[in-house]
Amino acid sequence: MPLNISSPPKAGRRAVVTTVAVAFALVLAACSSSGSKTPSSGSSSAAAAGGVYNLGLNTPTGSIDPLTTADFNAMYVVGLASANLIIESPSGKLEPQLASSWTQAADKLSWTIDLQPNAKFSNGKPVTASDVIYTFNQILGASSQSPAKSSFTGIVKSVAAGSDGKSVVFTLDTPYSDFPYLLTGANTWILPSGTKDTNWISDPVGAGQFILEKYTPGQGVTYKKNPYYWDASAVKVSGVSAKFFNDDQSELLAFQSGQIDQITSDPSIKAALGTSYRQQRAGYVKFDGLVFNVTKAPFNNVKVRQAVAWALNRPAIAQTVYSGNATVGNDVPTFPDYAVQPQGLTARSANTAKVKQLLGNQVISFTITSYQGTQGEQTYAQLIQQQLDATGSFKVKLNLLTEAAYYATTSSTPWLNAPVTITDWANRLPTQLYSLLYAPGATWNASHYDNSQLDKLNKQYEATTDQAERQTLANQIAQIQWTDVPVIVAAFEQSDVYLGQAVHGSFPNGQQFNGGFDFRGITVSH
Amino acid sequence: MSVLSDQAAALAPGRRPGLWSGRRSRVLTLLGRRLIQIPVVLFVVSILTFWLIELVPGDPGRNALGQYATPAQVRAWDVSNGLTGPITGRYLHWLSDFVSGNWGTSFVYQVPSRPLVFGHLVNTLFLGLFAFVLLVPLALVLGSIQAYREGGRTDRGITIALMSLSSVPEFVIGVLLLVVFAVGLNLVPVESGAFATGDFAQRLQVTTLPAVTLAVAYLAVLARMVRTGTAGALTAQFHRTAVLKGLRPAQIVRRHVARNALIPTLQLVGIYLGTLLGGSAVVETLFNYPGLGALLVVAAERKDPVLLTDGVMITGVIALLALLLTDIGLILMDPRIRFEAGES
Repeated sequence: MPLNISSPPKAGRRAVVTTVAVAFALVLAACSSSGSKTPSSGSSSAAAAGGVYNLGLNTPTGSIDPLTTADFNAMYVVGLASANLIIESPSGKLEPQLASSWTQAADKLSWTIDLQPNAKFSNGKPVTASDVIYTFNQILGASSQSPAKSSFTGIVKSVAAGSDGKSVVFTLDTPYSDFPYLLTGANTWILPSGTKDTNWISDPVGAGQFILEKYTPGQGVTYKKNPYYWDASAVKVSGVSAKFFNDDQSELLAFQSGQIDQITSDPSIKAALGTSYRQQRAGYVKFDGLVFNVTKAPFNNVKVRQAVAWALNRPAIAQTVYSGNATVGNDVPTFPDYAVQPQGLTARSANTAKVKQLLGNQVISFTITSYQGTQGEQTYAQLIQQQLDATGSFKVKLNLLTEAAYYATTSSTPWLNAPVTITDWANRLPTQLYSLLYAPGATWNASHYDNSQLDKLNKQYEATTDQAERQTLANQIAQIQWTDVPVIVAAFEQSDVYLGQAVHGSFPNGQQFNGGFDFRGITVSH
Repeated sequence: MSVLSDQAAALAPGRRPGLWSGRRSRVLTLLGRRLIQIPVVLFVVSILTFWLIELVPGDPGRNALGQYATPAQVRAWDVSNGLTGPITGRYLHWLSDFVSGNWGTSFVYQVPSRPLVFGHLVNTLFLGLFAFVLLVPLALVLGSIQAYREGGRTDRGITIALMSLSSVPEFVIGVLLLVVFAVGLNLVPVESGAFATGDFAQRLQVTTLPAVTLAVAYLAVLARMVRTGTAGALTAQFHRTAVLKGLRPAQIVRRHVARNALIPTLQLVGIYLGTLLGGSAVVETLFNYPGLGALLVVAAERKDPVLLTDGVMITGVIALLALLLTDIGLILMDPRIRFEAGES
């Protein structure tokens, strides 16, 4: 009889079967340990009538302190528990928050901000003039690390309590008719007097719609409704559970499974979700400026800058880079939701004949420097490269750095020194953007542009309150920006989020920092 | 590490006088040697980590304050957080704090580093052990079946299946599992972070998909190793002798096949154990699992030297301990194993 020495022994077979059974039982037991439902999330104490809104955010990349936070996700974390004096609606209208009204003095050199009589912090203490003064002294102080400081530098001289004790008076260095808009910015959330900004996350007192209950680093934040919010009856949700994601795919799947109630739209999200979910588009978020260093050849020649501007297919940029959630721009940094829109300019569109007319038979070669961001920066750079190369008048190379390398804190930092750069700019007032991007000697004047006439017109614009005069000045400013083209503004991106089926109502002021992360009127049914 | 070359020589069944005392002596010698080696390795690793993160582009102050902060504000932030000055001084400062248990504060998360690292470590250990528990028995079973059915349809079928699985990246497997079990069947949450600190059953539930994904990633190689070792033992002279002298199949498997076949496998298992317990950035990120791997990726990306170096030290300790355990296991399993001076 042949000897079969390779047949498995029975004991071994039993061991094999047992091991497999145990392994699968473990997996199945784990999967079914809570029945067919996924575990519920959010604060149990907050599970009341309006429901807990499950929010997906990217993990904050920077400081989570009201005065210094600069990353959108960190702003959201702070903003839910904090409140500004004033917020801005998606249509550009100012609306009250902790301030009930605001008036400019006859001499135009001061603004009086009246506080809501029932405004309170989450600890139940009233919001007073001294809290507002303390907050702005922190922002404007010599050792302030707040990015908001630059918005007020050269504008605010002092902050003091009003004579009635229920208002605050901002005294200005120069007249500034859009001053209340500056109070809608990030980092201007009102803090209780004496708050140590760097410890805020461990003692997160604010006057926002929610109270921050628990912050788990890298994982998320839970909030419950703030009963002391000045308009608390309008806030219907009983809490918010914010979860941090580091992976876009994971966030998309969480939205599709109903684990989070909203997701920000981008081309890949739009392709995946199509029209099966409700979208809310509200307000403008940013523009990606194509910035020319006008001191370096060939961009010291205005015709070259104009030729680039005439070579771009802006509707294609709006569609491809921003998945249609954008309004075409015309090289003037005035967001479409701003009250005074420039008039009388020719709308630039792709025009190869115009490019040839400006450049002749020259072929201009240059490199665009930008970074591999998460919000379409790379796509934008590649699309511009394709569009310019297609004209035959340009040969464009790309130098895509990491974000850290692009914004390196050195004197030769690429974003302020390379010949052509792409940098995103959040929604700000035209005059703010002028002072940051175009003003001679401005810290972030990457174009190194210097135009005394433009400077003078902007100062006049800031000072006047006469609408007709403002319109005239806005037109003149825009004409110079359009003609000299130190910065190409091809499109303004809009905020666009997909809302889950459990969400009812619409966010009245979008979901941007200047809209106050306003959840009034929203309910969820899960 | 050296293994005597006479692989054909079967390990003698039964216990022999002096065998266990010899093994105990070798284990103690190994422990003594590693007690000196491990701190030295960790010291070198900490220097390298601290130095390498300096090379990462960017500035922690800029990361914290954003693009709109002025250079002066960024500089002030860096100064207030002790990020300026010579790297040697900063390293020595970190080292003295680390040794004294004061691990400092993470710049990215703004919380003390030590509880942050240990909190994530616990999650990673849970995930790694879960994956290990799934991986090792499955690999042993599949590899053994293949060896006993060597050349047959079962062997070929399992080989093709495992090779196919191993050629699919972890994140693809993870996404597929999420689509089916989280989005389609709604059995588990996509985002496991919020539940990873729940009760045991809840943790098991949310950790299942990440653990399966991790286990699948290592399964093919480990099963292949088991197959090769087992097949080699089955064709060896000692196995034929054991069969011919009439030993029961269970005795043959336990005393002759398994012990010889598993020695190379055990070495690989030890390496995998260290890797699994050190965290997997890809899987942890995809499943939003709050583990050490994903934490350290964030620390490296955002240039958080305190958190990164603290975390790397811990993963280093785990990897070295896993290696030590493996080596001890090898000594206990195979008396021919010797760890010569100067080798580890």
